[in-house]
Amino acid sequence: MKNAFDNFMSILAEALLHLSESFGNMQGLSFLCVKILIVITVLLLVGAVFLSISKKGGHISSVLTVIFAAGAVLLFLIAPYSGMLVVRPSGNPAEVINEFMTDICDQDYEGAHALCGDNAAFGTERNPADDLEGIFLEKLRNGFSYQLIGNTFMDGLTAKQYIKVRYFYLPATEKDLKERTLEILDAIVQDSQKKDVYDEKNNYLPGITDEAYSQAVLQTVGNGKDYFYRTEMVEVELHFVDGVWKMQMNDALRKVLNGGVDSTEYFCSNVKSNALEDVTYIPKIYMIDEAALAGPVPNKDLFGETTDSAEVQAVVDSASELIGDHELRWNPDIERINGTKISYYCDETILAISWRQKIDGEYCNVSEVIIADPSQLRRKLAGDTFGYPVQQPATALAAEANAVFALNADYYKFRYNGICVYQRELYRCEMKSVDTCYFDEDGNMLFSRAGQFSSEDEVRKFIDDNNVLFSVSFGPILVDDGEICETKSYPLGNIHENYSRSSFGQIDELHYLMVTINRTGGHEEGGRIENSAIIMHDFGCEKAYALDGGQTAEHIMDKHFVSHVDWSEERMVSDIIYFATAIPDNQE
Amino acid sequence: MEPTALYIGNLQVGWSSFIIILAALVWLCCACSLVGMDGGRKYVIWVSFPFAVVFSLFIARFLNWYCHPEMYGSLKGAMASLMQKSDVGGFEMPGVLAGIIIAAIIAGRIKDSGGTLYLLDVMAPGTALGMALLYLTDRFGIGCRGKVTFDAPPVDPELFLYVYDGTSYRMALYMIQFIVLLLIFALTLLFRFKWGDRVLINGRGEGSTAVLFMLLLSAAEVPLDSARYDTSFLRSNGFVSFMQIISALVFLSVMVICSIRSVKAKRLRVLHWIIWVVFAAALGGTIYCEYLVQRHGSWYVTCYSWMSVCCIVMAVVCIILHISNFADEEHMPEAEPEGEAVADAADTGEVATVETDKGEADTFETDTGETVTGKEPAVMATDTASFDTKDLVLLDINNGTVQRFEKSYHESPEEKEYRKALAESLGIISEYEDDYIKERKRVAGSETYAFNTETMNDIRRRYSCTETDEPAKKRSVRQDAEEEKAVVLQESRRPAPRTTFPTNISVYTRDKRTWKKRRKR
Repeated sequence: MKNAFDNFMSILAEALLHLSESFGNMQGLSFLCVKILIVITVLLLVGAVFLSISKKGGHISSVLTVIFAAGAVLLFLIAPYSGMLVVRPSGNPAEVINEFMTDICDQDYEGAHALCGDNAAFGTERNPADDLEGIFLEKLRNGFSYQLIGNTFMDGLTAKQYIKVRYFYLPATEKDLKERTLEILDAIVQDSQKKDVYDEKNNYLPGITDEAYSQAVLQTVGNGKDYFYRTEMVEVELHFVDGVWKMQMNDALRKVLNGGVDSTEYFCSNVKSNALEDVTYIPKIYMIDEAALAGPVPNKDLFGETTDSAEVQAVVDSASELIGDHELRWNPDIERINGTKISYYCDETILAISWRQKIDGEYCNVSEVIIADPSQLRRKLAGDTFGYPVQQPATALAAEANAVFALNADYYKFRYNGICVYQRELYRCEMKSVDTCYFDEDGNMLFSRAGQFSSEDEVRKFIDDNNVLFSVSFGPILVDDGEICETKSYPLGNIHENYSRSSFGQIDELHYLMVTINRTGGHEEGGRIENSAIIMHDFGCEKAYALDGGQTAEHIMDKHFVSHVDWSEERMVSDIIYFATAIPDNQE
Repeated sequence: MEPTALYIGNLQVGWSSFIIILAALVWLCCACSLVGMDGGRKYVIWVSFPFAVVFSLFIARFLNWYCHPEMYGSLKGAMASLMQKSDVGGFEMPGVLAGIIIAAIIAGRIKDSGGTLYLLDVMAPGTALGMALLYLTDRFGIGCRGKVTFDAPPVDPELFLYVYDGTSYRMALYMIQFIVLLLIFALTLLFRFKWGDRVLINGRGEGSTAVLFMLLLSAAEVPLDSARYDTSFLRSNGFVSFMQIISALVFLSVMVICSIRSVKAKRLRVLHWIIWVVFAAALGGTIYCEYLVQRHGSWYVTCYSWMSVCCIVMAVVCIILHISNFADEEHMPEAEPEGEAVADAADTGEVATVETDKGEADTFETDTGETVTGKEPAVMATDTASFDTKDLVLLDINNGTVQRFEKSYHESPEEKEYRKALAESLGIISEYEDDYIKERKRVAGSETYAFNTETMNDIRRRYSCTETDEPAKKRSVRQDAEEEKAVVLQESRRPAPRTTFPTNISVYTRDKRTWKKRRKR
């Protein structure tokens, strides 16, 4: 009891001391407000006393009312200058660091994640895509050792500690790999007949280069020379959250855990390209981490806006590698709406074109996107949290996400309908009223109909079996397997009336088409859902789904809307779907 | 800004928690002081306090969960985080109002509490002030900011009107809410002191302050809630916010109820039609402005300005209608011929009488037990319908027996003197306050009022055989019989013509510990 009382008194003394120091830190308007508050409080106290005397009652209560109210306002004014009054977190941050690094060294990644403040992947714990990647990852995982350097510095709820980490430095293997690959290739050429090594165009056969590269990996990375290892001093930060110390994954630590690269997946995909760049061209693979809340920043110079179709055609021609076998729906002969521009963006990983066109008498904005990797098709929620109470304009969300192209989604906060999946987690499971569209990890669209599922377990199984990343719930389904889906009645969207509409469609793998039908801009009617379905079907979409229309419907490129928005004013929304470039920021 | 004030071990206490506690204490103290000024029992407020706090917290969290279910996962999770976490936000203000109303209903059932409406009246100013302080806690979170963003604030951010959210500036709506609610507090308090106990025609005297508070709050919340970027909506619609729906219900219910009362009391008049038309126009204007601002976000200055004007107009017409229901001279019956002034009685010590037209000399007993031959004390006709607003209660605690009289508002100096004389003659009132208009609800003093002969005799009967602070004497059977005879004699006399004095008397007793407020009509 005595200890508790002493403890309490020491905390109180510390808090009051801190508060009094805070007064000294106050400046400008805040300090003036405190002075005014004191004067007003004194006047009100006098007034309260007189009033209570004249009323012959409530003397103490009225005085206390003024004092408590003034106290609350004073706390409001002083809090920003005071920070935390008393900070006495429990636990030892150094122990947490030790435990974390031990888990990393022992490859107990689950334990390591439990000690982290976020859920982002380290990079080392993922399953390798093939055996060669497995060799890299095995060397990386087995190569960690660490040592804490100096004391832990604690400042309130933050702690910092330097650690020296020895790890397998992946980029160090590139030079040796390249040399060894070329050596092995020469040896193969010398030991084999020409027809077994070269094709008609005198290029190496893919099998030969692959064989040479594989052997090089086994012989260089597999041997694990000492100079492949590097020792680095890293500053680790911890935050005291919910009563425990949690590791904060800063860029330096993440890079060390990834063997000195931003992403092991990216490195392992492209090191082969680098090793064989002198003998053959292997396109680099870029991808975005699944847990990333935004894509890499797109190159502003690659955005364009023009009325000249030829200019856009030239851009399309430059993206022939990316387009490959895809059949573009855009062509320079399209009859666009007079006076409207074509917006575009093109780099190695994404081609996006947006134009306005009259289709079947409807005023439409058509956007076509081809991406190199499914990770470039993403969803952005306001606050990056499902259920976040704040809504924002779609252009603001697109800017936060570094979107190349974005469009409205289902505005999930507006109504409690449908099945909502985000980052593979099921957040809402209302199965009966609306159709739901899912996006899996391969960038393909999947559908479920209203009432298809009868239990939450079924929904979860569907999500797990199909590797669903996120979903949208508005609908109805417009096109499925290339056939128009008729909808006689639907609870959302006034489908038989004329409104602005927004549709999302998939033509083929990694090739998407988005169309809005707009109600204003000289075309007051808008469209019905069946018009949207016909348009998407005629464009050749295998799958198409209706998103939230009306004023919500918009297409966005380069942080501004490129489609016609009802009343020319954006609406506050809770979410968007967007396409991002996969080229990392330092690779431009 | 660091929202945490204390972090000790696993215990995390935010700055907002301290402000919430102070806001609750402000509510408590403000209500106690108003009750104290009325001479009521403060313990009733103390009893209601824990109910108010608990219900406010739970209902506010429940409403927040209902509007934002995905933030919590489940209702159980929402309630569990209420007890465990001290995060800022996660509460809806209507929940605070609901908690206070429930607390008033519970406490209103206590004897001597004054009733639920009275408690709501005394709680209303404290609620306004408490809510103003509660809004300040949003500074430590992300809530209650404006929808519109600015690259640079139109005014210096140190005026607390704009906050930087990391990418742009937004208006700090919580400061606007704070200022507006302070204003509402001042207006509510002023109303409470000036007109808060005015009785209604065919109605009660309590509840007016609470009605005013709700009207002003509703007028403020409609535009301010619309301007927030984290407005809460019901699950069924995303166009009209939860707070706006409640405000609309308040306006409509007050308008309907007051209209019915007013039409019943004063019959349908042109003023009624004017009020209804103005109200409908203001309501339509509010709805149209909300529609416009949702469609054209950049028109926010014009839309919210006009919306505020329309809401103020709605509140004002509702208040006008409510005030028009206050009892006044127009609704009192015509003055009866005055009886003979009885000021002399005070000097003689005899019971005063009121001379009637048809009064005949008769004998009657005075309070001293003497039989006096004199003018017949008039027995007033009781006509409760006409004199409802003139019920009187005699208040006196000096002899341990209290009969509380409510005052008549329209009293001539002669009436005042008359009552003073009566009071002194009866020996009931030991103290007379000149300024009793202000003191009429005081418990600690004594007040005098006019009363009719019937009551006068009644009082005389009560005090004729008892002395101050002495136990009631044993009465003989003969004395009882005589008294009974006097009562029968009195009752058999024909009713006297009306005078200017009231006829409905509520008489009840009270000692210093219990307070029986219920009046008998």
